[in-house]
Amino acid sequence: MDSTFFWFFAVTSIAGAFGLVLSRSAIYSALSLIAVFMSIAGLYLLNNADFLAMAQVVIYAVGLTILMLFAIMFTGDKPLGYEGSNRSSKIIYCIIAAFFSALVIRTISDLNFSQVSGDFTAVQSTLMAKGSTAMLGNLLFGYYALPFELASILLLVAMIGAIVIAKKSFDTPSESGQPLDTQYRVDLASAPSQEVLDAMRKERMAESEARKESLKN
Amino acid sequence: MPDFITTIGLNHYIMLASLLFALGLLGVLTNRNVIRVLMSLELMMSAVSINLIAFNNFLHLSEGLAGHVLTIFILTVSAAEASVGLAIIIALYRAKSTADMNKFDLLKW
Repeated sequence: MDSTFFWFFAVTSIAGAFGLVLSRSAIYSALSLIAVFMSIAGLYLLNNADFLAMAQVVIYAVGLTILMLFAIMFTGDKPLGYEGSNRSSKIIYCIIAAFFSALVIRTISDLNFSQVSGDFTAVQSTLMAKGSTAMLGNLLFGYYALPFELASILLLVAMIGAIVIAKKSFDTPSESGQPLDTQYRVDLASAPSQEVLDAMRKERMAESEARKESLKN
Repeated sequence: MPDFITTIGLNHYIMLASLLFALGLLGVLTNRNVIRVLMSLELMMSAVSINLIAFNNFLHLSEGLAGHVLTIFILTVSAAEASVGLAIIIALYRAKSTADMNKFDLLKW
C-alpha cells in the first residue's frame, strides 16, 4: 500500500519535472511545477511530515507558483526556450545532468540502509499518533529559537530588499542633477497619441472578431 | 513482484531526489527564460528537502525532528530567495525589456 503511493508520487513528480524543463511555454512549466510540489507534499506525508506537507502546499505549490505566474505575465511568455541555443551545448548539458544523477544513484545503490528502515522508535510512534506539529512547535520555540529569530530577520531583509530593487527609482537624481535612468524613461512626447491608440485597439478587436468567426466555421 | 518495488526504503527516496535534482539542473542549464531558471532552482531546492525528510524518518535522529526543522529553514530561505530573485528579474526587465538570459551580458568580457 505504502509502495503504491510512493510510486504514484514518484512518477507524477518526475513527469512534472520533465514538463517543467521541456514544455514550450513558461506558463505550462509553472503549472507542472505545481504538480511537482503537490507530489513532493505527498512524499512528505508518506514520511510522517504532516505539517511540512501542508507548508509545502501553501508556500511552494500556491504562494511561490502564483508569484512566478505573475512574473511570467509581467515579462511576457514568448517561447525563447530553445531556438537560440545550439544543439551540441544542449547535449553536453544533458550529459552533465545524467552523469550527476548516475553518480548519486551508483553511490547510493552500494550503501545498505535497509537495517534502519521498518522499526519504530518512540519518537516515530508519537509522530504517527499525534502528528508532528506540536513537537515541531516545541523545538522551534525552544531549542531552535535563535535560528528561528534569525530566519525572521532574513525574511524582513529580503522583503525590504525586494521592494527596494523592484521599485521604480525615477526621482533619484545623479550627481549631474539628471535622473539616473533617463534612458529607460517613457518619452511622453514621442508616445503615440490617443487617436493612434484607439485605431490600434479597433484593429486588434476586428482581428479577434475575425479569429472567433474562423473558429466558429 | 521484486523486492525493489514492494518495499520502499531510504534508497528510493534518495534516488528520486537525485533524479529531481538532476532534472532541475538540466532546466537551469538549458533554459533561456530567467523565470524558468528560477523555477528549476526551486525544484532543486525541494529535491534536497525530500532527502532531509526521508533521512529524518528512516534514521531516527536523537531528538526526532532535526530534518523537519532544517526543511522549515530551507523553506524560509527559498521564499526569501524567490522574492529577491523576482525583484531582480523585474528590475532587469525594466532595463532590457526581455527575460532572455543571453541578453544579460553586461559583465561578460
